[in-house]
Amino acid sequence: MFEEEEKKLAQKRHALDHLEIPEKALSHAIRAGVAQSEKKMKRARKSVFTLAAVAVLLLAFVTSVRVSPAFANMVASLPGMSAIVDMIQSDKGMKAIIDNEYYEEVHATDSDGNITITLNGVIVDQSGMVITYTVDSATGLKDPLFETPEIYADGKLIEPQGISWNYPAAADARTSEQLIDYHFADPLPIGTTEFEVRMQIRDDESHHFRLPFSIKKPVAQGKVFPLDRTVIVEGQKIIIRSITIHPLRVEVAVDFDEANTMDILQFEDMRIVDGKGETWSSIRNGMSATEEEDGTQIYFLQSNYFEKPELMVFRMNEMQAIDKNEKLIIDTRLGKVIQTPSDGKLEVTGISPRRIETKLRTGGEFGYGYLMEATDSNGKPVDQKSGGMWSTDGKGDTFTYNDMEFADTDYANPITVRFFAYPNYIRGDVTLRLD
Amino acid sequence: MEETEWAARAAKGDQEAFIRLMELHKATLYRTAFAFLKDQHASIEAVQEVTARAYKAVRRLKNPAFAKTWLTRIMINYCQDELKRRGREPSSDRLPDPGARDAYDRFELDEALEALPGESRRLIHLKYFEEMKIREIAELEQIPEGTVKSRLHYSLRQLREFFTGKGGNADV
Repeated sequence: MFEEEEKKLAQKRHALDHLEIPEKALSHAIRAGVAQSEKKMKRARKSVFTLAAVAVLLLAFVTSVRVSPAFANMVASLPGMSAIVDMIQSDKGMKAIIDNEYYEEVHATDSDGNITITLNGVIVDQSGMVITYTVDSATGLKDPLFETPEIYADGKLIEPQGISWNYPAAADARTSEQLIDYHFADPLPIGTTEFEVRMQIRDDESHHFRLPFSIKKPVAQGKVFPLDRTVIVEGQKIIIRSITIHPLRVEVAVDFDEANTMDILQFEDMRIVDGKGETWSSIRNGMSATEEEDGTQIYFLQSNYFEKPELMVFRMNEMQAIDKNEKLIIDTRLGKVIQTPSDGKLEVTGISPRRIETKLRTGGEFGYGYLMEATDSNGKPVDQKSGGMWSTDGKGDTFTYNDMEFADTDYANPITVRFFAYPNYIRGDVTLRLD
Repeated sequence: MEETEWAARAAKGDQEAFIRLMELHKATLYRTAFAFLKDQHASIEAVQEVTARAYKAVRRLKNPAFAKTWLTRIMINYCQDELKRRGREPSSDRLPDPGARDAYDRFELDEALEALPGESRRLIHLKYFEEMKIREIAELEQIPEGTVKSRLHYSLRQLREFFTGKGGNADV
């Protein structure tokens, strides 16, 4: 039927078969590709656990806090602190915590004969806990998988708002220092002193650890600024509910007017400025935002808890926003894309009932995983098993890739995917004084 | 060691196994790149970029037996992006030898292939250049086999229309 076309295709195939293969150059390209990839993975090796309602910013392009090499070395020499040096360099609040000796060494260890876990230190406030610990194993871990850790206070599980922990990159190493960043769903009572960390590592088999410890330093009380102020940016109403300052982070609680024509996603430059012009901006290396059950968004800024500036002004000028009519709708059963945003930046590259893969032209560094959650045609959330994002910083166009894996196929098609971030912006000038 | 074993070990994070796997498939991947990009330098670069992307994602390679198809898919995605990025201006290195009739045919075919929508071109490529079975293409594209067949048919018809419509005098 298509003999002529097929003949031409066969000729071309024949030509391709006889193509000279530049063996050496290709071997070199393969090595270079692996090296290139390793470099990027190092930048983004946080593995992240997301609760249904928690959105997470994977390691973004970090603006470094100025830390002298001497300071970094000093910190790295403290027990368990090398894991924290990264955090200090991207978070002023974290540096202030170390400066003000709010980090507390703890001693707890548990072993199952093969693997030994030793807690080194914690930073705990009402909003969450950062734990550093060391994993030792006699034989070296092959392909360790760290299950979601749990923290108990006075024998009761502390409900997490979100947890992130380092990917155990040091496979095969006998010892490695690790870090857990655990956000509490509700404020921790300030008198709490007794905790227990439970974790599980799967290697060839499952290893369980329980590490009780107590802290001596009092839990710092968060300072709350109730605001309830409505601001308007390009016609969109944003309600700043409150700002709470903890040592680990500043929480900015934000609601959006239902009549808005756009969904506001990420705040690009939300910040607190003091009278001298010093600025505390978003947390870039870790969780950047989360959503409460009632829909209130909580954004995290680096903390100035210890600086206690007299004058504090909350500011923001640019935010990501997308028109509410611009949706991503997919029928995963038919493998059909029903709608994507009309700017053509988003492309669906793979569809199956359990998984969707997408690609976004970001036009420059972006650094956000942009898919948040999917709801089915009955408006029910689709259980998400995991998601992944990575980006290329090639020449010319830059792309970010984001995929979502669903826990089951037990949902009604088509599904609508909500965005967590999107490279479309609105601008204004919001200035609120905190006092 | 079998290809599948290299792939399985690569999927577990074994870097040497991954490099061995890439070595096994580098000629195929290079040919794929060349079919799209038609340039040695760009095709070598494509192999590097695809290596980087594949290495990053290799833990998600569920079935090591499909490593080659999986890599081919990453390569085709890369090439199609690259072509989109470049636009469609013809580049000098693929000008045909004017004397050779079959070179002219191939050149004409290249033009026709480039005029196809991304998906059609990918299907034609997989079927005729990678010589994949309909079943394999269906798996790769995550569409039913019947759909692969009908879309291939449609793609060939688009090719024919290109040849009969403007084939003889495609502008260069």
